[in-house]
Amino acid sequence: MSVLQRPAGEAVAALTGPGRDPGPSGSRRRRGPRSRARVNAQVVIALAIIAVFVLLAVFAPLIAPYDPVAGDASQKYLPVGSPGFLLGTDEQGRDILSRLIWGGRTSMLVSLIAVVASTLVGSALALTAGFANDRVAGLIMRSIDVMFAFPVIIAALAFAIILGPGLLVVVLAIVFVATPYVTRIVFVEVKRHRGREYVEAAVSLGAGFWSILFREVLPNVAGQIVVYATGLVGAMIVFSSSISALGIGVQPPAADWGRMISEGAKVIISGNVTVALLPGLVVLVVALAFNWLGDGLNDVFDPHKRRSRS
Amino acid sequence: MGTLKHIGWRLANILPVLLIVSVLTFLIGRLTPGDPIQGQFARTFSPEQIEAIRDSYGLNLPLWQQYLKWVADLFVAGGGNSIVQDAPVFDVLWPNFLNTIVLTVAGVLICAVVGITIGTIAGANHRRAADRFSMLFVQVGSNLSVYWFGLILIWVFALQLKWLPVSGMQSRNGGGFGDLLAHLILPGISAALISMLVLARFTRIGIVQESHSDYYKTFQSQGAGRLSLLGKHVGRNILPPVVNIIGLEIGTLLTGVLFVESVFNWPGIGTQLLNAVNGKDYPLIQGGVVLIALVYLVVNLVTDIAVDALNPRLKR
Amino acid sequence: MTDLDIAPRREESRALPVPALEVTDLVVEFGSGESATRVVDGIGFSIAPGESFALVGESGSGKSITAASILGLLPDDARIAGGSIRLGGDELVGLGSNALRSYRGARVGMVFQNPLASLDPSFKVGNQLREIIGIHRPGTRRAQQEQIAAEWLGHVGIADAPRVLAAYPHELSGGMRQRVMIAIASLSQPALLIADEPTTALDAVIQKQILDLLRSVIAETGSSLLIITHDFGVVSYVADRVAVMKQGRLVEQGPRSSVLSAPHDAYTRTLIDAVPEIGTRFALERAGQPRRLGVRPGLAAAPGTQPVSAEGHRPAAAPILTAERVRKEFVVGGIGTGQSKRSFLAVDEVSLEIRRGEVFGLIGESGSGKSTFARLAGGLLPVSSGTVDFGGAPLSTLTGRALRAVRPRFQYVFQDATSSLNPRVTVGEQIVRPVVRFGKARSVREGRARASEVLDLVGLPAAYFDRYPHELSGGQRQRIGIARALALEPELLILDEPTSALDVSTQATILNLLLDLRERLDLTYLFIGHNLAVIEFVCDRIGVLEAGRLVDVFHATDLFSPDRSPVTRALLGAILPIALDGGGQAP
Repeated sequence: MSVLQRPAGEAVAALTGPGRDPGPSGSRRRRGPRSRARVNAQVVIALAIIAVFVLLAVFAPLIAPYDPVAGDASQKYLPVGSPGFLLGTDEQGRDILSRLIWGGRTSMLVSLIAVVASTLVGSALALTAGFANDRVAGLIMRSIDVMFAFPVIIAALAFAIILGPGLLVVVLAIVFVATPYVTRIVFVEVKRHRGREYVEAAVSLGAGFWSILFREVLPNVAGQIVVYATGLVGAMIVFSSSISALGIGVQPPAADWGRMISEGAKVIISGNVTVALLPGLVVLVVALAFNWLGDGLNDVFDPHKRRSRS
Repeated sequence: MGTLKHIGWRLANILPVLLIVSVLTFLIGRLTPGDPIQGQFARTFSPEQIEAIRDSYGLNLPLWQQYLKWVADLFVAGGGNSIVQDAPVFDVLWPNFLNTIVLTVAGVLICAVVGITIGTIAGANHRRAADRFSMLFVQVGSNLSVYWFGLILIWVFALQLKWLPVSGMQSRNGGGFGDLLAHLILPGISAALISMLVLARFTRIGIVQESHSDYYKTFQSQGAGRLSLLGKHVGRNILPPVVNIIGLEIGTLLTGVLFVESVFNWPGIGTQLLNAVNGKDYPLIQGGVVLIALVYLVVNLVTDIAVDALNPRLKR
Repeated sequence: MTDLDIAPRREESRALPVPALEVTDLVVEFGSGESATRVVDGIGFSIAPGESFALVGESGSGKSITAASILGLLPDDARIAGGSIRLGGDELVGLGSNALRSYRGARVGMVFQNPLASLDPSFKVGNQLREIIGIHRPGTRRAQQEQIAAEWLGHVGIADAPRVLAAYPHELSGGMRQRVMIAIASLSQPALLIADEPTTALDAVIQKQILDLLRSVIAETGSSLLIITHDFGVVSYVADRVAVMKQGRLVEQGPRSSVLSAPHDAYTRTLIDAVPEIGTRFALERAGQPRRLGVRPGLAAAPGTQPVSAEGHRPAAAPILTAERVRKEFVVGGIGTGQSKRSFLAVDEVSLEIRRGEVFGLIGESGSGKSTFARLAGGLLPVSSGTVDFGGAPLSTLTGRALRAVRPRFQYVFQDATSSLNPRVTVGEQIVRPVVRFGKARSVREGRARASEVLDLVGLPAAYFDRYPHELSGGQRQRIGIARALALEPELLILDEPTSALDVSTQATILNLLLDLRERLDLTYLFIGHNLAVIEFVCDRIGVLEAGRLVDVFHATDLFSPDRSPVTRALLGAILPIALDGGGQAP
């Protein structure tokens, strides 16, 4: 399920970088002030969208107009804009808006936790591989290849078999998918910085192993890690909705966005599309917002845009 | 290095991966709580008989012997017997596996054609309206859930417009190749979506980078036309990374196909495996994993060899 | 916009034959509207048929953009905002790209800086030549194209044309590839050949061959030559007339001899004086002047012609660094790395000693192993065999903490100051960290004081403490690199091509700074370089490396001695002196 670019092999790694527009060298320098303003606007919009959804999720009990799980059978399939039911109701007469608000809690929290976990694990693996000798690096990166070779859906199913369906399955499935990507991306970055002369200079200036790792290299890759992880949150909200839709995540009647999509799938054949459409649109908007935020952060973390206080 | 030696080297490199995947797969069947034999036969057989059945499945041997037996079964016994269907696993899986391959191939073709087209339009019009529009499309598309995208396609093209069938692989009363194609379009597009956007991105970046390369300037300074530069030189130079990405994306696409099967009710290995999970049919799950992992590795191997063959530095 | 005094006079040119190229009031801008930056600002020059014209300037002066604008090959975000470019009387400004295409190659050929990337890596050389021949002579058949290609490879001095035609670019050396490029640029016998820094990426010996080739090609085809360069030696060697460019404007133009020997513009003079020339140091010495660049020796000595009396032989001091039979073999690949194993020998049994107080120069072409040796000497790479001894400490056997403990005694200055400074750490912090680490300061406050001291030493204000590397110029960054090394009060500085990435004028200030510091702080230098003139100016003794082996060691005064190895003599023969006397071109 790659919403992510997968760098593999030298040629491709050279192409990806952090996945941004390469352009001709030096063109960045000449970018006018207008495009920087556009970048800032993009970050502000993205942050605003994310903030709205986070607040809705946090204060769901106060905001949601109805109970998300208790439906009223007499109010089935109300269309969008029905009085009292802003976004209509589903096949059990539950208020879709309320379910979306509550569902955001699960979907976003699960993705966030899982991405933080995979970022930590992946970065640790990548730093180890980047600073170890060729053989250890080879071992780690080969194991990453194995994870790529292992069908994600099967892994998710395996977790579901072992642990029983539930949120933990979704978290583990995301960690399983995301960790190899994080590891590869961070590894390429670490390798790149490891080979730079400032690391050699630090050695010559007497810096020890840990000092080089934490004080020289990590500050240089941390920005890229944060940027990548931010975009990953969006991608993983999308992915978690697919996993959930298979029925191995949150169990009914609780709601998350993926579950809502799969419930909508059952009624789509009868011509009612809104039940499935709305949660998918929400997932799309939130994921895009995280993407934009990642793009914007990329510019924020660009060392060449950092100014000293003087 | 000779070509054969090179291929041999690539082959040797995937063996460890295959080993680890197989061990993990094997462990899935052993780590799960609940005893499948117990579940299946407890009502009809006595405890002694169940022990005998366990013996016949080799479940009482030490773990490493079980593993070896399992691997041996993969080769000689068709992956062992399915618990639910009591037939060799590979015999059960094979027809569905072929259906999955059909869908995957369709997805790869759509992915390659559409992805390269979008990427080329964007890259050749770098920083112009066509580029911005394509990239917006790519960004939005990359954030669509495959499952949801499939549903929306069904709703629009099958239910509303009634252009294409809703689901399945064939019409009820059968049908020829045309019928199959009609059934393939929507699931094929759904499965290809994410991969083709990744491919579009790489193609675009490749074209932009090559168009700023020194050799591009050389030919430009000699009066070569833009079309011949893009078609011959840029095209040839981005070919290896594009082939590489397509190869890698086949793996991704295969995973997507498993989701898509469940949306479109496609009689593929994914549907079968979901059912096997519900029925706790571990030999079947394991066989399925091995098949999928094998496809993935073979595709990677072929990709590596193709990319090497396209690299002039490795010639002669 | 025009600098009237330097623009070519129309009245004159009317009397002369139509110039091959006439540029007037050319303005090139990046971006558009208010945020546009002018990189070429109203320049004008003209090149007569058959003439060699050099456009000289430092990086960022706009010289390459000027060259690119002639054929409309500007980067996407740049455009010609005004002026005229006439090629043999035809106006090129304002032509669409289709119209321009008929001029490209056919009437103007271009040779670019980086021969390694200028050919398409995916096609054989023959295929690429045929394609280009096909563009200019449509309708020729493959056999004819092949014959023309082989013929032109012959013209550019490639003897075994069939092999080269059947080769991929990566199978050819840089010099060979530049020959192929010259063949491509000149095979339709264009009226004008533009060469944009054609030899900057090449070794000195190859540089001279390529320049000779350019001269003979234009003599043969009757083309005019526009050569873009930063190197006054190149100007002196090939140009009939010169224009000097600074920040998008021409500050001076005229015949080569008058510009080089009697520049009337102060900037031109600074640039020329900044170039180290063989023998200048001895001339300065005889005139009783300090050995610094930018100082004209009072005594007019013809540079590089007379061997100087054995002056500089100091009494042999104790060695500070001794290398004995040092070997370094690099092994790449092997089990678990996904690559097959192979190795190559970078440094082969090198023995030498550096004496306290001297400047030892190590020179060699690219790939000769000089930087590897510097890293071995600086304890940055382990030796494969042999020993390195630093002032009694057996460097090659020390590891970990013990090695770190001796590090402050010898310090390293890297070639690329940009990449040797951590982009995310302020320069002050980068100086303070090692100072505190080695207890040269007991507190960060004391470290700050030490940092201001060394910043002052390298001529930077203490206010630079809080800046990030990207906020500094290339020269300032290299000063930080030096300051950072000096803060540890080392006895030996290993300078790995410290000025190769810098402009000539910046190089001069850094070299002068290094000479100053050595006198004030009583330092010893190991100076790695590829430019013999720089090495000769700075160093007391010189070692020559070739293919990992030390082939020659001598005093700077003995450079012209007949005992020199053939490698040294080849390097010496490849030097392009600035002919200040205004005499004819060297043959």
